[in-house]
Amino acid sequence: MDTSPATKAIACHDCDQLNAATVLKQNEKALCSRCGSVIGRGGENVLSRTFAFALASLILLAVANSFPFMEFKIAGRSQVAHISTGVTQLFAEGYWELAGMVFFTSILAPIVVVGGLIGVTLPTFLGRRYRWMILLGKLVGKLKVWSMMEVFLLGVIVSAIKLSAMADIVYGPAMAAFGILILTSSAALSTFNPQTFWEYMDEGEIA
Amino acid sequence: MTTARSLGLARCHDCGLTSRFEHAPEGGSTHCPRCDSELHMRKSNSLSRTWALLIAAYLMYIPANLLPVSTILYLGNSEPDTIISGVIALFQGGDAPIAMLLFFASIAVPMLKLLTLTGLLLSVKYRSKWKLRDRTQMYRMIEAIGRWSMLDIFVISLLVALVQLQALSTIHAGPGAIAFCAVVVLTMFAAESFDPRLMWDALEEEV
Ligand SMILES: [Zn+2]
Ligand SMILES: [Zn+2]
Repeated sequence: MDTSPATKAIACHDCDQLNAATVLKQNEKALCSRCGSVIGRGGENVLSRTFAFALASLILLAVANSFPFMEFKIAGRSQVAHISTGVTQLFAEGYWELAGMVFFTSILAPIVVVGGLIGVTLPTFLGRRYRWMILLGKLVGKLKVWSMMEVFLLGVIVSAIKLSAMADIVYGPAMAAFGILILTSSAALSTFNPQTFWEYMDEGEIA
Repeated sequence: MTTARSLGLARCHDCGLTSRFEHAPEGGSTHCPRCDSELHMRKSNSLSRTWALLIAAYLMYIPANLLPVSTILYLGNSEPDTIISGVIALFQGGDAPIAMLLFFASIAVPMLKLLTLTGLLLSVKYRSKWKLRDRTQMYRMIEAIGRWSMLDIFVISLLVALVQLQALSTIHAGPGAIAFCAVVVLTMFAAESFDPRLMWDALEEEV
């Protein structure tokens, strides 16, 4: 690694201003002196908390996707839905573009992001550094805006209210798992400080 | 004020490392010493890519608002809904909070994104120095809220999944939903390809 003085500075991603790198305490933020964007977050040993939240999220993701999450009852008949039912139904109706986007944003991207967070944090406990962790770190950075579980949950609430006029809605076990999942996955992402991870990768030999 | 570029430094888009930018020989490219991503002083072809994505989004915005996004078949009646008619129906049905939410996510946010990105692109074209900090914050804001526009797509997928009681009532997706989904995705890509540093470059080159 090139650690000449020039590279100790942090260039702002929003305005290209060079800011001197400072040591930050927990929960402290560094702001760009020119445009005010956040250019660094403080925090030590947060990778272990990220791991715990990400692991819980992965388990909850499995639960949320395996059990029915809503039952819709009208005039003595009922319809059970899984998280993936919308995807298969849209696909069956020929709307593969919608099916694909809903699958990607509500199932695939969350799995990759949560799995990726586990992948980049677990080896840090053993002090290991692997080349694939670099790829995974970049992948998490690129995919996290496409993981839309909290938007999906809001969609569930809106549909339940829309349908409550015409039928009874019963929530399944997946719904509780999904609700907790929103909390654990946002905790995993917010405790994950990419800077801490990349600095960890700089500190030793990469296998 | 010193920019990274003026010192021959570039920030890595993937890992955030600020490193020396060596001009590569003809046809070659410079890579980040830490994560090996390709380095650029500014996002490559940012303006033309953002314009292209934005114009495509404007074009899709028309069918997204004119075509039905869903059709409800209820006791023999067929009721197609566009985005706007759906929001109006919710207002008339007395579901004001939900109507406001969908109005915000499906009408206000996409419109705000299209107009803001157009404004930002024009401000770069005319090298405007007006309120650079505020424009940078605007950019960060539309980048952050864009994903919430997927709300309507999730609601449609959930309604389609739940309401499949053949004789009584069914809900189908409509072609407007594909166009709307395309607007959301195209504006997300457009925001991602825009480089806010180009706005700040207006300050630099005249000094
Ligand atoms: Zn800045
Ligand atoms: Zn890098």
